Amino acid sequence: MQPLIQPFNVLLPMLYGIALIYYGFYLRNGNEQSGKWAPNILLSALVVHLLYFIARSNFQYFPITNSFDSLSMVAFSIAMIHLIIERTSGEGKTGFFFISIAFVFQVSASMFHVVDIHIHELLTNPIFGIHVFFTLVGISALAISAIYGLMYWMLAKQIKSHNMGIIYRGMPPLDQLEAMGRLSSILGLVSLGLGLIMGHFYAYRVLGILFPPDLKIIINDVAWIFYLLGWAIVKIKNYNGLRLSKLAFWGFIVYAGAIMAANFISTSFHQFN
Amino acid sequence: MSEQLIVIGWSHKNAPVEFRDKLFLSKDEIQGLVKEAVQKDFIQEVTILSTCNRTEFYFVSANTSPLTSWVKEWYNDNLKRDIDFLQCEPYTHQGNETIKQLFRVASGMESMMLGENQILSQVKTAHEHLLMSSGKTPSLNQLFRDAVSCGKAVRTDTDLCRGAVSISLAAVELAKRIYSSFQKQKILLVGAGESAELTAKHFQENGATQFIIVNRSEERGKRLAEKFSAEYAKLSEIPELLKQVDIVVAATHSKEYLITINQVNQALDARQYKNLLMIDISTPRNIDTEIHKIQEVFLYDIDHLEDVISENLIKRKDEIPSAERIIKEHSRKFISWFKSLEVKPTISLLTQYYEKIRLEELHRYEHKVSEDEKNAMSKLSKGLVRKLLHYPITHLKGLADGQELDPQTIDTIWRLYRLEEMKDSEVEKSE
Repeated sequence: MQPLIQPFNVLLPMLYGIALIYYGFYLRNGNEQSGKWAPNILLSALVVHLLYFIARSNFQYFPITNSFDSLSMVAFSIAMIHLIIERTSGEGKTGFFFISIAFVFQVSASMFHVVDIHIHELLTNPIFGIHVFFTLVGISALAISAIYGLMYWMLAKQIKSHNMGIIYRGMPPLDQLEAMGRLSSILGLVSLGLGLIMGHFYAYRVLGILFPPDLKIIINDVAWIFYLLGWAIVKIKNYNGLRLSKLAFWGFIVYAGAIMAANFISTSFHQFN
Repeated sequence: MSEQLIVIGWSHKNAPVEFRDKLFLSKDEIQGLVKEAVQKDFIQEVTILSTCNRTEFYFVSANTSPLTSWVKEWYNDNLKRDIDFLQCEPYTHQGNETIKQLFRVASGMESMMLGENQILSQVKTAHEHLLMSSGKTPSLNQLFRDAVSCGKAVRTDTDLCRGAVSISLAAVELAKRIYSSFQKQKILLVGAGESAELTAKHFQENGATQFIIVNRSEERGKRLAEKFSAEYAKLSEIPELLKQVDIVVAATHSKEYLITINQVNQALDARQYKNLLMIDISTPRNIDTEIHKIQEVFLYDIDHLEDVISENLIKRKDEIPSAERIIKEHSRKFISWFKSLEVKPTISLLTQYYEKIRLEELHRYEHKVSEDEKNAMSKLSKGLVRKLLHYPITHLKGLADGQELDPQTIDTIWRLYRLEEMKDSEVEKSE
């Protein structure tokens, strides 16, 4: 399968790059044609990316064998979530920001792609694969929600200060940014929840413990509970506007910070052997 | 003399509003003029573009000199308007300048407010009137069709018509940065004057349906409320209304603040800290400026909106070169098409070209040969020229009859045989 993978390493950055250019034109000029083409090109990139994952798996294992594969999966997740949000809301002007992240991640993944020599046994289990996929998609969606929060914050600041800069002209209206952020956080909450459940289920099958005493697992579980509580409070109290956007932003910063700290403290993750 | 495009007009550039008002023509008046004009032998085609800012007469005519006086007479004799035309002489453009003029008008380049949008629909209406008229108007029909597509291209490919350039529109545009739709938004209008009404109208055009009008004079307030199917409320109800509305527009001449920071602060809890856009277009201001400090409130006054407008105008001016390029390109295409109509003059000039060469060559040899030989040479050369021209002329006529004549074909012939020079020398001779 390796020779089959090489063309993907050229094709994927190229497709994400072209989508990025179209989103850039759409953001800058509001050109309708660019706005129509960009999501179609992105959809093609996602289909090709999916084919890449299938080819990469050799039909034997989950296609994340090193950290650069993770970057590729994150690129895929970000692009996919953005496309879902764009199709739902009908607003694609924020695409440039998200696809630029996906593009950078995919370029890094393609540039530093390594040939698999040894495949960890874990990766051959489909439950583990589903767990990793949903967890990564969930975290990406929460990150996107945080970015929407930041965008809201920046646009609100520009409107308030009577500054009609590029953000003022290029961004969708505040209420739409808020709706897109909400959708993204719901997607994140559901996906991360599914990922964590699959993870616990797999841990139980391998270790016989449903909640292994792993710092990263604890942080993710706690973060998910906080997100769920936050979502309930927002729903009940009808929180909106700037308060909600700040909550989405700072919530994710704390979550990401905690994961990074946990990575620093405990270097081994998922010790199932 | 060949047919020419000509425009005679008055606009905000050469006539004051009172004068322009007198010139304005209704649809029926335009139709009446067209009916009469086509009976004149010096008018082949005519149409009129009449708006509040301009009245322009577009003609296709072989004899342009009587047109201006005919237009003036028509106003005074037929419409009995008694206009003193000495006060404002019209501008006239001929040929390519006419094309350029209409394309510039359709693009909003000639509008009082650069890049104004309404003019394009007015040009479209003039085109529709033209299509409804009974006479044949192939040139003006194509001219107006091309003008509309030029206007559209300028609007799509440049930012010449983007960004609000009036206070009320700037207010709506600003609100669009906060709310994607106004359908569910409640708008509180404080004041029932002209500015309030105009702002409400623009909001309504953009989808707003829920208005509450507050005004000191109940009668005036209710009258405006009726116009917009809105609720009417008293000034004392403002604190309560602030709890439910999304947009507040203040447009009164009150000398004191009608909305204070305390009122807004007290409404925040009930509003669940929802965004509130407050637009104060009153002079002096009616909304306490301290309100700006509240995080959830976006407060804009008339100065802020004027800044938006002047920024938009600067951006529009920056787009002029791009718009000019589009106009030039569309004009070039139309000129080519218009030239393609000139098949008869082309054939005539082509025949003259060959005849000129024939005569020049005969002249070179006429003193070397006898009279009989000269006659024979003349006959021979005439037959030769006739035969040489037979196929090109038949072909050109066939193309023209079948409406397949490509402007480029005519252009190539004109270039190959330098027919422009030929035409000029003919004009000189006739003068």
